[in-house]
Amino acid sequence: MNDLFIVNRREFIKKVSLIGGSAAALASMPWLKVLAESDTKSPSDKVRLALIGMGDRGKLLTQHIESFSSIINAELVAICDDYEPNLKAGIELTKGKAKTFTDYRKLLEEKNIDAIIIATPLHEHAHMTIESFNSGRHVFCEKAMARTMDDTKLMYDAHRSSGKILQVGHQRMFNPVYLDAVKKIHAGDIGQVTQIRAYWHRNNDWRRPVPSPELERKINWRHYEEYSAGLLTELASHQIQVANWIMKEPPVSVMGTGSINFWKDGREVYDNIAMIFSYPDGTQFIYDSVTSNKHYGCEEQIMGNKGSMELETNKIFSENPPQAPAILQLINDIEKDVFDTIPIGGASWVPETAVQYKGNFISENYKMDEVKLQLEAFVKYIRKGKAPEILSIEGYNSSIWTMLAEQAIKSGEKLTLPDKYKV
Amino acid sequence: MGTRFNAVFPFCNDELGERIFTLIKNELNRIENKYSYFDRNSFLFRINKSAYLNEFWLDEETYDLLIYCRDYNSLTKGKFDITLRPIIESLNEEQGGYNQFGNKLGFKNIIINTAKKSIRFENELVRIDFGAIGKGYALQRINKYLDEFEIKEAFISFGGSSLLTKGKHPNGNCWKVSIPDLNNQSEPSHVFNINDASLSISSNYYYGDSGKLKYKNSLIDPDSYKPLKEKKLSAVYSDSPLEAELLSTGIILLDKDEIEKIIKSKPGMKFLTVNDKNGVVEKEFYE
Ligand SMILES: NC(=O)c1ccc[n+]([C@@H]2O[C@H](COP(=O)([O-])OP(=O)(O)OC[C@H]3O[C@@H](n4cnc5c(N)ncnc54)[C@H](O)[C@@H]3O)[C@@H](O)[C@H]2O)c1
Repeated sequence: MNDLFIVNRREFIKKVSLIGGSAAALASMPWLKVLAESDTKSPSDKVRLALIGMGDRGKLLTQHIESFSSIINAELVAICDDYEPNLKAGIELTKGKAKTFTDYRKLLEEKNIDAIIIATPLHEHAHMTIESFNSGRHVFCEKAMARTMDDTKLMYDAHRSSGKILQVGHQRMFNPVYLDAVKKIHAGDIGQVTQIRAYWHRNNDWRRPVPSPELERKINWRHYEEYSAGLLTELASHQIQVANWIMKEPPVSVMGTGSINFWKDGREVYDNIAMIFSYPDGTQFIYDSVTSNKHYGCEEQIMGNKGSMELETNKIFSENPPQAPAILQLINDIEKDVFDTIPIGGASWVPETAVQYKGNFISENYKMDEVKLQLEAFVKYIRKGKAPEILSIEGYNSSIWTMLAEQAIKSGEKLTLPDKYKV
Repeated sequence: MGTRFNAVFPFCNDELGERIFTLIKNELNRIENKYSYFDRNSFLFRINKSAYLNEFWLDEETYDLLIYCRDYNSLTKGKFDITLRPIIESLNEEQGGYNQFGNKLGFKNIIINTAKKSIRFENELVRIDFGAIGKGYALQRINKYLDEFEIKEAFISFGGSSLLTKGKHPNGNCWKVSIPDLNNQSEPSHVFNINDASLSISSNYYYGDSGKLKYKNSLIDPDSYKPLKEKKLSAVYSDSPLEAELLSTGIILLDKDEIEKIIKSKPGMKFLTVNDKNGVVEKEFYE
């Protein structure tokens, strides 16, 4: 597993250099640069991480870190969770090496921690992040940033005033397919982008089993307004980030609607939503999410006047598939009463460029883990003491517009972002 | 089938042309949907999934195709073989390679019950892949439509490597098709005059859209389980597009003696082989 990762990592780094080969592309993706830099094995360079929130995501992040900590020269030295079964799981995953806490404030009092990874429910993100900055730590916080617009802004401002890194868990920014796709879109491969459609469809109640009733709200926090905006913050925020990234700027307005029309199980958040975000150049981003049909799955469709891309499935389609030159020549000859050889016979033509029927792959299918790359980048930024600001801005814009979308749905109005939230 | 399809009907009005084209498109989609190796909903996918565990009854069309493949497998001394796809897939993976297959692939591992028209796979690794015959088969089906609509002149190219012609070029006495030289794109290595016939070309090198010569490891020698590395090309002229397709794959892997034996049993056919050994080109023409 590790070996495979190293091999792929080398390929990826080559790829990053390629992406960087075009100055314009690198200028819009400066967060990649650090991945091409060489590793350091020196003990004094070891990065000490702590993680708060050993739930599903926290465990996954921990597994990743444990699997390649020696490669990236980092160590998970402390973990925290206030729910015993999950803390136990964390102890197992870290083989008892990490110091354990049930109160994150105690964890923050520990010396010898460089940065905090936050994977708690949404409503806990803001104060944990800000307190981490106050204790002099860098932060990797899972998406979305916070439960309210004000908290989101406070988090961002605290990042700016403390000078500490704020990286938000939008792993698509480290996904080789997305990187290739966005690079190609920005280079004009599908022409002018004029519409984006995205959706995330599931068919389940998104409910976790609860060992005893008083734990319902703690465990199924995604269903309660106090803690989460449901589909908006948990799913849509990723795709809003992708749309902003492609458009190179945040939207100017959002309108939307939502309801609970299927899972009438006491949840407070919508089980289906639909929204339209408009961008400054007039491009519309049409989004929807449902929980009672999974046929269409999850996708981002980027439409331009020359072609389309489907990012989740790594597909590109051309509006005008290239013609076989020999056939055009033949038609010309027939029309002009010429009889000539048709230079067509060769091994089967396979598409090299964007084309045809079922489309082509945007990117070679790299078996490369975006979450690992994201963590590796975080560790390298920590060593430098800073990260490209655009990384925080991407996270911020995605979160703030996710929150604004919630307000638009609730008010039924088309909303623009108040100036005080603009960064 | 992941490639281009072009058809030229010089004397056909727009309305008829569109009707035929729609029929062709539907037929191509039908074949693709039924025989796709990757599509989990295809009939072939079902065969590949279950024929090791259970005897699998084939429909008429698939049975006939399979028998055809069996006959050409034996005619080409095993070189034309539709069971080698797992090897190509393993080449794309990080590790593994052909060693893992032992002696478990090869047509002989498909047990055909001719009385019941059913098959069974001898072991769990066997998979059928119609990739090497798909284009030829599609052209054979299209040929039937053209006859039904009494299309007397047509030039049809499937990916540039599988051609079906009817009649002749409006300004000449045949359709002249040139085969590229693998060292020099501007000079053809051979010109075929095709009249109411088909031509199929196989090669492990091709000129991409960028004009650069590229290698692809799509030709596996069933005797070594390894992809053909030498620069090679073969072309087969035949009345039947399906036969042309199968034999072009078969003969690219055969040596001269064997090819000569085959051509003797196939009057009217023409074969071309081009073999480039480090820039020294050997061309053989058989008829
Ligand atoms: N980037 C992604 O693709 C992705 C995927 C899944 C989840 N996430 C994000 O990760 C975060 C966590 O999601 P999850 O599914 O792991 O949730 P979860 O409920 O499984 O885990 C949350 C954990 O935090 C713990 N916790 C809550 N409050 C705490 C506190 N005050 N102190 C210490 N521990 C506390 C809980 O006990 C629980 O173990 C969310 O923000 C979610 O959006 C991101």
